[in-house]
Amino acid sequence: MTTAILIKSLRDRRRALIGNSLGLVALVLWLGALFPILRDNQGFTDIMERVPPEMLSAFGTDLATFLTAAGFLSAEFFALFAPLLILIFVISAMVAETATEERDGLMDMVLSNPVSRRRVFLEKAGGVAAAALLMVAVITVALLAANPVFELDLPVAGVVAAGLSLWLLGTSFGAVALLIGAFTGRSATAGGMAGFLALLAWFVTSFSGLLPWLEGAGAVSPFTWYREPNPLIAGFGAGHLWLLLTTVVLLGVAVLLFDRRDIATERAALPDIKIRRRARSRVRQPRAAWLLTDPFRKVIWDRRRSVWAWGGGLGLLSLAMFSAWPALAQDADALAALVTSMPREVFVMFGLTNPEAIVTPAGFVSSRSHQSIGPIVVIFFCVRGVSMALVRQEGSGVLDLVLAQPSSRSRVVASKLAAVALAAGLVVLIPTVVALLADRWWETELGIGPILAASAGLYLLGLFFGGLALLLWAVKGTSLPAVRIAGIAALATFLMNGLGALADGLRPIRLVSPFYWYFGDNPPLAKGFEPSYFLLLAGTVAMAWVAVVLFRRRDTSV
Amino acid sequence: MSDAIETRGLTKYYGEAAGIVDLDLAVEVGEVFGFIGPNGAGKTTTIRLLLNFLQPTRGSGTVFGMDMTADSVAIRSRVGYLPGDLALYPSMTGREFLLYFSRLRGIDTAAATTRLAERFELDLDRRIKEYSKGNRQKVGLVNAFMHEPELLILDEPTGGLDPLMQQEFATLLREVRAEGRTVFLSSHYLPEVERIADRVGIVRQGHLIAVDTLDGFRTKIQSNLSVEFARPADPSGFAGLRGVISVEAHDDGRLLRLSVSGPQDAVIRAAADAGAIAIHTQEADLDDVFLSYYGPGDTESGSGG
Repeated sequence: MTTAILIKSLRDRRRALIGNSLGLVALVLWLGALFPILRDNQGFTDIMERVPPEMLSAFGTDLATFLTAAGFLSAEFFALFAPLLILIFVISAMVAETATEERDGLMDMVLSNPVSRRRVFLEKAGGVAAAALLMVAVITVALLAANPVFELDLPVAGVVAAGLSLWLLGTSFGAVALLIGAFTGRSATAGGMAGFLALLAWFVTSFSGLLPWLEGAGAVSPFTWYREPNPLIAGFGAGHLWLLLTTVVLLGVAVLLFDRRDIATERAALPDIKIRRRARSRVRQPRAAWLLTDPFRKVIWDRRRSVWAWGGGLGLLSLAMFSAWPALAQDADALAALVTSMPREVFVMFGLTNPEAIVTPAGFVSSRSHQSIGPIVVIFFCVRGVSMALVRQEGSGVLDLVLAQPSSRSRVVASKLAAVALAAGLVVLIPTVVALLADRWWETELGIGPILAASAGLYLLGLFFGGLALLLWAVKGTSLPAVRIAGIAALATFLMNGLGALADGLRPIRLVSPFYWYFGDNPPLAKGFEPSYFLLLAGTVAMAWVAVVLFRRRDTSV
Repeated sequence: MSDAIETRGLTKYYGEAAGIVDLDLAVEVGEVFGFIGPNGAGKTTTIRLLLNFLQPTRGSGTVFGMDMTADSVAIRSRVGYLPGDLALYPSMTGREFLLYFSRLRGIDTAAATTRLAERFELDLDRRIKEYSKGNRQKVGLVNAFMHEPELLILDEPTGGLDPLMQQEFATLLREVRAEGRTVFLSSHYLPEVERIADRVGIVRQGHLIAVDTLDGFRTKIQSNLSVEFARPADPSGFAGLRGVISVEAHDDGRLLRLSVSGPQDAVIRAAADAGAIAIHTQEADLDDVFLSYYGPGDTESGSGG
């Protein structure tokens, strides 16, 4: 007998593993480098002293702790970013190895070999867990290396304990995903439910200090075991054992369930009760029949969940930024002092070429919702929309079926594109409405005009990169990784905008960056509809037009 | 010696929908058994039960005398399986896939893999996502045959194969049979079954309705006889004979068309007495057998996979 399944499961993680590890190491090093600067900065300490203790407790820390390297890293890294990445990694990988393979019929193939179900399941889970452990090891090593360089004074045992705690948190929710997948055999359910439970646990732990009715629930949340007491300071504790126990028990139950269940595949579907109920009524209308009449409506229908998820997320972000402003406004002077004392390059590199603006409400809200997270989300949505509606459909051969219908190619592409654009518009509309309401509620007095103009610019920025992905796809089809190139182009032009602002000699490279056309040197919320926005619009229209023309005479591939 | 496959009252319900009901099946060692029926009749359900992908609602089954559920791992080490709708890891090459699966079996199949790939003219060093449907099917076939299993369970094996490769596949199955190995072949592509199967089981709406050799089926169902006479014959003289279902007279009685079921000796004797100069028999093929068990319009009903 071999461990071929475990090795394959581990091997198939290598790309995600490298990407995630690089990102996390970069973050650890950046935070490590930033901490000495912040610690020695009086403005920063002044601000932190005025932050309500409840808010700090939401990040699992308090003031005295936060001002130590261990506390700072816990709050900035171990409280949110590290668990977020590792949970996404472990949950999606666990689901991909089990429920998704089952759906695709691959589990049938694997199980036709003389290996027990138990063994298949455990090896697959083991491969993912090993990958996560590698990821955690890389972070731990990076932290241990940063420790002397930046004089962080982290206890070595604490670093190792925090790493292991992170790993066990990942395996716990990975086991949740496995359990739900083993019970239902549905990958979307398994991933979605595990993700939701992780979010719930994070919420419960973060706010159990603030909301008395959550106190009892806080004790049984894996996030509480994960970070209280803080392993980076306290080292190994009972939390590790609880997490380990959770993982082992859930995994055990999952194996038992999987051992006895019918293996379901889409290829040899198990008709369930739902299907038969539908079969009773003679003619069955598909869900939302009115939405499935043409490619345009089909794309809207396919994107409906993403629209709510991403638009809702941006709405919440907008709400958070507006609601945080009044508290910060009271400390505007300290905030300004902090901004001036910080190395200007840090802000500029991230597109905030006018850091002083951050002490105005427009600058503060823009910094997140229009100059960092907002553009990331909207660009991601547009590029992914193009990918799902066209690139992937060509790859799977569905596009050939659509094109076999009696309507012209340009019409099909144009209507799909219009649908993606409409969906993206809805994603931007949700935070815009939130911003309009919040602007009145918190009396930030940004005005309707600038808010609408900033949203329009954000929308056009997203469409621009969606258009780029479309163009790349139209030129070379599925043989070119259009989506990845569009993503890299977005990142590159974003950095170009920052670099161009840093050094005068590099200024020209800014001018070709769509981010410059949008950001300029003033926060989007502080200005109206800029003429440069027309560049975004013109660029998008031109790329879409060329794409449609090119696609009309291109061979389709499967 | 026990049968290769034996099931007793094997039943699988999906909720209230029947996959297969009270299946009593015996496949002997060394035979090629064709399992035929339309889509959704229960063929795939039966196969997935045999491989323990599904838990039976009731009943039991054995493969080489071993219990289908309890001894599944031991059974699978002696079985080669090709699913009806093949799934492979798209980013692997054919060779990587087969190597991976041979490792799961814990045996070295490199030589057999190369030999089979050459036989099916399959380039193993391309990624599976780049293969055509036929080439993917060949990877599935190599996977099923590479460890030289005693029992092959093949679900719609020739889908996507061109006629030359179908021929090659049939030859391969004959060799397998000559070596005394067993084949359980599910299909609704009847010429394929007709070419190679020793015995055929017909399944309809979850029930096994008939099992027989092909010849056995042929004699059970009606054949069409055309009898030519030198001078007009009297059709009523044939109508009452044993096995005759209908008689039609053409050409003023110089040509009679008869539908006959079962042995045809009475008809042949009467025809000779009446001065027949030629008898043409249109022999029933498996299509006729199949259609005699399924009236027109009945082929798409049923439930389960």
